[in-house]
This record gives sequence, C-alpha cells and structure tokens, in this order.
Amino acid sequence: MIENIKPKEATSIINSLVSGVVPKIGVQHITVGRSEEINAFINSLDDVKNGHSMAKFWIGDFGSGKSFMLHLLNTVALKQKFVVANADFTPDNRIYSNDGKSVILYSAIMDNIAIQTKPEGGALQTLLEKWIEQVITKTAEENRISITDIRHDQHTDLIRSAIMKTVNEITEVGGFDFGSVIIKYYEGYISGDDQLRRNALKWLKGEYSTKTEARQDLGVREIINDSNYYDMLKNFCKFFVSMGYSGFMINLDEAVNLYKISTAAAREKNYEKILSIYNDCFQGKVSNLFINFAGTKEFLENERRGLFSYQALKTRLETNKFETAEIRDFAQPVIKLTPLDHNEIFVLLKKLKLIFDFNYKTELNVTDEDISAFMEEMFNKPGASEFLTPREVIRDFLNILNIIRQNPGADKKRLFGEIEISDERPNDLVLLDSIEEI
Amino acid sequence: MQNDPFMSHDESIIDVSGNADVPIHYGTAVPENSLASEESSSDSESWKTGRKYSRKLNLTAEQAVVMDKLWFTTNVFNEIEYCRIQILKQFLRAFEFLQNNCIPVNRAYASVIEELSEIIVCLQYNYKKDSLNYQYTYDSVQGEILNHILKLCENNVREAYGIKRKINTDFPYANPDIQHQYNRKIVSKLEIFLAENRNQILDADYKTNIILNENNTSRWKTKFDEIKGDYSNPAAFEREIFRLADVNIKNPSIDLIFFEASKFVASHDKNCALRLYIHYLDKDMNSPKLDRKQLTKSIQKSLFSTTEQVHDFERILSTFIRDRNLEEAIEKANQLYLPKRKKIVIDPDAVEDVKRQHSGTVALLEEYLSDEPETTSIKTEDSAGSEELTINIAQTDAEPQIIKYREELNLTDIQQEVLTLFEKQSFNIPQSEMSTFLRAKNLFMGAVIDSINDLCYEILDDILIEEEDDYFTMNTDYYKKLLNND
Repeated sequence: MIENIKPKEATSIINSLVSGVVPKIGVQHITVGRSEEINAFINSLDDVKNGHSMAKFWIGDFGSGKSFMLHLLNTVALKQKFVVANADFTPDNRIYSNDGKSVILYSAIMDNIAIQTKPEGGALQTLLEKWIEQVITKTAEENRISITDIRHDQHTDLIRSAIMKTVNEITEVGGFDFGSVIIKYYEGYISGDDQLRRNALKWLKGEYSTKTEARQDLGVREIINDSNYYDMLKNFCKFFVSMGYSGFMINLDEAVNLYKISTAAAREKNYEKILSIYNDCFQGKVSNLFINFAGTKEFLENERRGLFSYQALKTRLETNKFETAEIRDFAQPVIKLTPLDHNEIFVLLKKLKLIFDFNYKTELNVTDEDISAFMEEMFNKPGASEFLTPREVIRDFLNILNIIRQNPGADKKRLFGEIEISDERPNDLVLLDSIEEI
Repeated sequence: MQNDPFMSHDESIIDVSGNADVPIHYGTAVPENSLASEESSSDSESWKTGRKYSRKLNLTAEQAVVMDKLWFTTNVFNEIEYCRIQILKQFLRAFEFLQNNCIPVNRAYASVIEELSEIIVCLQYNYKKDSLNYQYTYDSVQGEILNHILKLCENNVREAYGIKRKINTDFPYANPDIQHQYNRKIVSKLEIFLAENRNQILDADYKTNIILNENNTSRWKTKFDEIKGDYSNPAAFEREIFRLADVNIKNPSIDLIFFEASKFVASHDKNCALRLYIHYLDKDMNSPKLDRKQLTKSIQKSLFSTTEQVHDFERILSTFIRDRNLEEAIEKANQLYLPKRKKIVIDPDAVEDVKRQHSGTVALLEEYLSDEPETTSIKTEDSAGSEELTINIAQTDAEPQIIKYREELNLTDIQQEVLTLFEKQSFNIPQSEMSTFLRAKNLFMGAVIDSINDLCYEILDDILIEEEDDYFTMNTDYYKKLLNND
C-alpha cells in the first residue's frame, strides 16, 4: 500500500500532518478519495499545456480539502514546468475595482510567482533574467556573434531592439511599455544600477501608483492599474510560455471575500470580471492560462450574493443536471469537493499508520479495529458533525500514534476517549449571513 | 359496658390460658336466671353503637349511653371501619363542644340538645311534659338530633378524605321555628367547630385509601393537584406520583394519574414525561377499556424536537405493547434524548475500491511529479506562433581535461565555475559577491543560479542553491552528489 514512498517523503508527510499543514513533498501518497478530482485536474493540466486555457471553481465547505487540492495542483503544476502564482482574496483586494484594489491583487499574484526551483515564490526576477538571457543567446546566434562578445557595450542596442522586438511579438496590449521596462531592467543590470533594476521590477509588479512617478523613474507613460492588470497577466502568460514553460497557473483562494462585498453593484462587477476571464479561457482568447478559484458553496450558489446571483455565470456554472451523488461529472468548470466518507478516511488512516511505521522504522500494534474505534470515538465527540475536519482527524490520529510509539503500554481506549474536538473555523464564517446589503 | 360488672375487665390483662371464660363466683347469692337474663339483655344490645365501640374508643359510660342512641344509615363510606371510627371520634368532639360551649338559655336543661329536644316536642307534637307520649317522643327527638349531628360529622370526615359526595343532612322537622332554632343553636355553631377541627381527623390509612379510591375514582385529583403545586424536581414528583398510584391500585382510573402526570411534567422534564407516559400505557393496557390517549400536539412538539425522536419513541411504545417489558421500555426512553452514538461501518468492498483507485492516483501523480528528462532546447514562439526555434544553451565544445562534475548534468563552464566558487567559499556566498562575479561576465545572476538549480533538480529532487537573507547557500551533501566519482 505504501510502495514507492521515499524516506524523506514519509518524514515530510508525518511532520507536516502532525502540525496540521499539507506536506511539501509526498503529497501524492495521501490523496485518498480524491482520485476523480485529480484525474480531472491532470486532464485539464494537459489541455493547458497543449495551449488551451481553463478556469476551474473548487467548491467546498470549511475543511473539505480545498486548500489541500490547491496545494496539490501547485505541486503537480510546478513539476510540469508551469509558472504558478497563489493569492488569496481579502477584504482589501478585488478582481474588479476602480480604487486600486485590483492592482493589489495583481501585486499579490506577481509577488507569489513560483517555479520549480523557487517554489516559495518571488521568482519574477529570475524569470525575467532567464528570459533576457535567452534573448541575448538568440540574438548572438542570429547575428553570428559569440555569446561572450554580444555582452559587450557595443552590442547593447542590438540586444535592446531584440528585447523590444520579442516583447512586441508576444504581447498584445501595453507591449511597448512592457518591453521598455524590461530594457530598463537589462540596462540597470549591465550598468550596475540597482535602483533602475528595482524600479523596473516595481513597475512590473504594479507597485507604481502614479504615472508621473513611473515616467520620472523609467521614462514610461503607462503604469499597471485596475483596468489593465488582467492584460498584463495575459502578457506574462505568453512571456512565460515563450520561455519554454508549460503555462501560467493562478490559484485564487478565499473567494468568499467577493461574496462578502456589501455593495451589490461592486459585487456584480467582480462577477462580471470573472465571467470575462471565464469566457477568455473557454473561447480560446488566451492560451496556456489556468485559473483556479476556491470558495465555499455559498460563494457559488447563493442566489442573492453568490456567483449564481449573476445570471450569465449561473448558466455556465450550474451543475450538470445529469450528475448525481454517485455519478459525478468532473469535466465541469465547477468541482465540488464532497467530504471524505468513512471508508475513505479509514483507508487514509490505515495508510498513514503504514507511513508512520515506515518513517519511524517500527510496527505499532494498531489494528484495523483500533482505527475503526478511533474513528467512531472522533465522530461521536460533541461538535463532530458541525466542525470536525479530516485535518483534525489526521492530526489526532498521528498524535496518538506518537504516544503509542513512545509509550508502548499506553491504553489506546483511554487515549481515544481523551480526544477533544475544537472549532477551528474562522470566526467570520458564522457571520456571513449577517452582512448587510448596501 | 364498664358499668356491667360481668363484662368489665382490665385491658392490660391478656388471657393466654386458652380456657373458656369462667365466671368468678363472688359468693353473693345471685339467682342463676337473673344472671342469664342480664347476659342475654347485654347481648341483645351489643349492636348498639355505644356498646360496640366502647373499648375501641375508650368511651366513658356517659359517652356510651349517648352513642347507643346513634345509628348509621349505612353507605360505602361509613361501612369502612376506619372511616366509621373517625366519624364517631369527630362526633364525640362535637358532642363535647356542644355540652361545654353551647349553654342552654333555660338553665333547667343540662344541655342545648335537651333544650332543643324539648322545643321540638312542644312545637312539633305539642305534647305536655306529663303526657304519656312525652318521654318516648322526647327520647326519639333527642336521638334524631344526635344522629343529625352524626351525619354532619360524617360529611366532615368525607370532606377531610376528599370525598366529594356528601350524605343528605336535611333535618327531619320542617317547621320553620324548629329549623330556625336548630340552626341557630346547633348547626351554625357546629359548622364552624367542624371546619376548625377537621384537622383532628386522622389521615386515612393505606387500606382505607385503597378502598376510598376504588369507590371514588377521581379522588386522586385532589392529591395530584397538591403534588403539582409542590413540584420541585422530576425525581420527587415521580416518587409522589408512584405513591399516589400505590393507593389507587384498585382504582380503574389509575392510568389517568400517569397520563396527567406525564402531561404536567412535560414542560419540566422530558425524560420523566416519557417514563410516566409509558406507565400510563401500561396501566391502560391492564384496564378493561383501552383508551391509548395521545399527548396533545403541543406537548409532543415540546417533547420531540426531531421526527427521528418521534419515531424512536413510537418504536419504543410498539415494542412495549408487543412484549410488555416495562423495564426495558423505560430504559430505552431514558436513552431517547442522549446523543446517538454513530456506528462506523467499514465496508470491506468499498475499502478495497478506495485503495485500488488511490493506487491508480498515486501512480498517475508519481508519473506527473517525476522529473522529466531535461531538454536543453527551449521553445520560443514567434509572433505567428507557428515556427519553433531551438536555441542551444551555451555548451562547452571542448571536453575538459578532468571532468569534475557528473557528465549527465551537462554543466556549462560558467555553471561549473559557480559551483567551484561555492566549494572554495565554504558553500556560502554573499549575493552581492555573486552578482559582481557574474556581472563581470555580463551574465544575469538569477538566470545562472536558476539554470544550475534546474539542471541539478533531476538528480537531487530538491533545490541546490538556496537564498538565505543576503547569501546563497549550498547543501554540501547535495554538492557531493554532483561530483564525478570516477
């Protein structure tokens, strides 16, 4: 059952899960009960790699595994040479706004850009330099200049025009300023002007708030703002693909913050923006872009404030009417994460026990009956039906295994009996209904 | 009786001889026949109330004589010995009260009863004191007065025992003067006395209560109202209800006690209400007429918050009706409001299915998460997106004399130089220094570091050069893995 697991994967899995977080590596070994969702995602990922674009909505309640799935998407996508960016919706950012809140979201995305060799984010600079390096190499080849000589000052103009030409080739909107800023970055690097380089990065991350400031620092007329940030993301997508990456994956979590926007008009504008992204993806107006939204059922289905309040989105995102609890359709844009059933949790815990034994080179006397008894105890605790999540079940199970490992004589029944379930839901979850409409 | 020398005896002496009574010879010449006639006369009057209860009530001779004038119009209530004794005791108290407190206007009479007897004889019969009928009628009227008082006492005891039905206490003489005098002199005063002295009547004992309740099927309601009024907690309430039921064991309406108790306690304690309802059903099924009364909808609503609870209780009742196991039904009802313990049922087939699917997923993910063979070619889209241009990342053409790093890495000269620089500087280089080093060669630091990390990821499955604050650091174990060991 645990064939192919590497020792460091086992360690990562046990240590991370005990702390209640998703492991950095080996996550594939704990994907019990999510086979269909993963197959759907892998298929989508292949499609995006092949030039399609995709928008997916991961819908599930607190503790249903949205973050786990997004983490898994992240891991797989990075391995599949995707550039990945994660950002959370917060009360301070929006996908549509005219008061700078969309640029805040854009900045968050650009700050979190990750690649396999920089999985923690902050890879924009690396990507930029990698791209310039490629343009230099290409220019050297085209002009039959050696790769060392082309870096000399007399060829700077050649490189500058090559950068501009390549940028123009891959961008549609705002390409000129985009190219100019990359040239500034190149110049800053070559001349050792770190400030210029930082200013160029600042512009690319959407951190300039006034055009005047940008013109003074970089000589460009435009800045990235609420109305053009999405075009810039599309430019970056093409930019990354031109470097050989499979595509650009953007994961936007906590979409319930859009549901929480108190002004109906502002909320609608945001949903309209989601619709336009959705249409771009599925109508082929953009390539190699994979956007994932993660949110609660309310965010999707609430007819008054959720995505379904926007009729055009409702018709696109409504559940396949032929789908049932048994017969699921994972090819839909909406993937509803149903809670793991008892059999799935049983298999997961059984597997974790094996991984635990493997990690600590031991063989604990914890039988299938013990696992069942543990589950029964967990699910019968006060509050279990309201807020028990797999995260807590797993963490308590591993904690008990740790006690048994260190105290072989410990009474398992007593340990199971001592479990207490805490409500880990965010405080504002219960207040959603009390938001006043403006 | 105490006046009778033959019948008198000391109660403290108990005859344990087993012999028949032998009259003691006092030596006085008493003719045999005269003794026999006395005995027979005493026997013939033994039915008289005074004689009958002389010992039981410890009557004085005077009291016995008065009581001899009493006779009971028998009914279910006064036929109960305990009740009869209480009636007589109350009569004695009443009689004593009249003797001591109701002084006749005409001092010629010893008591108000005698005075009134005289008045009645005169007013009703108009007999002269010296007429032949006078004495007889006088005795008769006095008896009637005493018996009327007895009736008042019986009603008083009935009242004390919660018997709603009263006996008729109409005075036999309709003459308004008589009525007036009688009411004024006796009844009005007695009524006050009896009401004030009702508490002197002893509580009915267990057996009496059973008989009373059997004959007065709604008598329990008074006590039930008291229990309701004194409600403090479900346990005490239930205990009192069972006590009440105990003395109503022969009461055909005993089921109603439990039904009403269940209704009342529903607003205080749900479990107690369910238990009492089951007891109601139990008694109902034992009664000749099956009612199966339902609790009202509003009470049901307050008892059951979910339909599941309703169904559970219905199940308990139907099982009880079938097997009549009261204890089990009560036990189940006690569990009804406890949170249901969910049973975890693990389906081996489903588990196998989950395992199989999961193995497939792990295999699929392993495939996607494994390091793809690194290609040195990078695809570049042109504006039309149709042509593909393959650019070779600078590779060293000349074979180095000594190959330091593993060949399959295909490291360029500059990449090898960077690795060697790390080795020289104890695998820890300030970023500024690295930047200067690479800028001197007109190379981008980010691009070079990333290209090394990229190439080595395949072997290490991890990042070789990491940024830590202002430094680049390298894991020495990873570095060793890159060295050519040949």
